[in-house]
Amino acid sequence: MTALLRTETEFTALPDDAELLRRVVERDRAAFAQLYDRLSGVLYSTAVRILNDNNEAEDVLQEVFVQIWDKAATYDPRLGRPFNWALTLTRNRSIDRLRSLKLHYEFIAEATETAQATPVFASDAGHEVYQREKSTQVRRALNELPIEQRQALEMAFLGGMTQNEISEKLGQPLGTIKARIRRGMLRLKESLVNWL
Amino acid sequence: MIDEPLKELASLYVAGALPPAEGHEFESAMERSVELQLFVSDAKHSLDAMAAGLPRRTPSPALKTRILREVDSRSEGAAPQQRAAGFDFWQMVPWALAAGLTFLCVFVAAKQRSNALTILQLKQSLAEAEAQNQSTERRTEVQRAETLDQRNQLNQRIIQQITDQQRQSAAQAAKFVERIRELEKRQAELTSKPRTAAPIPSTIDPNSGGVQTETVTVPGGPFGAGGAATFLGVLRSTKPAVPAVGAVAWEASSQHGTVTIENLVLPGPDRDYQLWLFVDGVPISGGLLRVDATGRVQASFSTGQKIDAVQKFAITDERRGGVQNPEGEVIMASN
Repeated sequence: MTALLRTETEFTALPDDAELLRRVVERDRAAFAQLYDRLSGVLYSTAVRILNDNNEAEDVLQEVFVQIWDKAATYDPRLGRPFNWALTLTRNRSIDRLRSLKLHYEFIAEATETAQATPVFASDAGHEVYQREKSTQVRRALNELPIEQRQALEMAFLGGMTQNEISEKLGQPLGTIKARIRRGMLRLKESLVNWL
Repeated sequence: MIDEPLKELASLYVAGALPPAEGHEFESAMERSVELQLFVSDAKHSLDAMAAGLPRRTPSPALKTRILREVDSRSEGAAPQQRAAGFDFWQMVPWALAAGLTFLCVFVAAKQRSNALTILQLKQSLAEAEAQNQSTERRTEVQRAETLDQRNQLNQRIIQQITDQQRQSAAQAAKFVERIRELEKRQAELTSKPRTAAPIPSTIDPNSGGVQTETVTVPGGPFGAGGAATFLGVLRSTKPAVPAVGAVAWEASSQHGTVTIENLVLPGPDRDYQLWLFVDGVPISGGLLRVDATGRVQASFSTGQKIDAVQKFAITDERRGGVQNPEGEVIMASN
């Protein structure tokens, strides 16, 4: 853990996402491209996970980044980092598209076991290495979650389903679903406390 | 301290699993608790981190090219317009208000300047008009004075001319009276015996042979011009006891006459003496005569009718104010 924290400190000289987004507001195309390189992998992966369709996910990603370009000035740092903002945009658009296509989110139990190698961009290699380390740590935390808790969390968070819909979908009592979400959330929060 | 039920509610809220109505209730509760807000924020970041743990997928390189191309096209045209129509609208409101206020101020200032210029021009025009008016008034005053002076001079000339004519007429009449008296004296001396006066009719009869008509015609006389006649008549009293004597002159060219009588008694109460000119046997009034305290009559007259020749003059005693045709007693008549 200490080594990882030192790694994060070493990369603080790089422009953070907020700085890139600020430059995007000033119509800095290079900053926008750099922000794309940093966020597109996570966002695209999220969209694919929700939609289970690469083309649809790319369409969503294109809409999201165009929205970032257009609405960068509306970003509010008090509500989180640019990553959180971009992820919210991606998740909402993906869920909307899922509903417009009249599809349903399908939980994939072994999702975290099939991670692909992520390309490293020369201009942002340090940041990417840091992100990869972070992803590894997050993935480890997710893998430590009981499958039923991760399933309930993903169905709500990525599938846009309410507690009642999840309860109905899984055929479990509502109280059980609530408890799974609560316990999974608290466990995930404890596991990632050093990365947030 | 957040209890377990509230943590569960917060977890469901962050995961998006709460129905909309319950989500709104939780948001209301969250607004009243900073601790709850921090818990929700941490939970949300934890859940967001879950996305980072998903199997990493990479979009096609063409996607980045497409996005950058679209962004470039928006930068060239459409994007600024959309930004202006979106969030920039509210950011531009103060600027729009300021611009509007500035425009209003500039407009008002320009209007005031325009009005001031207009007022100044109007004042100048008014001053010029007043100066022109004063100049016109001065010229009018001068012209009025000149006109008045000319009129006065003309009136004086006319009065002087009339006065001169009246003096000449009176002088001529006086000469005739003087001549008549001399003739009467000479006649008295030559006859050296009392003379019986011819009967004088009590009424005017122009065709009567009893009244001697001795009207003198003076061609081109002092009153006439271009050969017009002047008719003179010597007036004698029709009553021997009355010593009145007089003369009348009528100038045809000016249609103006003069009468001079002396030693005439005053007319009775409510009575006037009236002068008559006989033209072709018809009496035409020459007006009423005013006798002064010495029994003298000195007057000029006109008739209102054009008279080219007079055969006889007469004076009658009429009621006050005169009459259209002679009614009263003849007191004097020409020869």
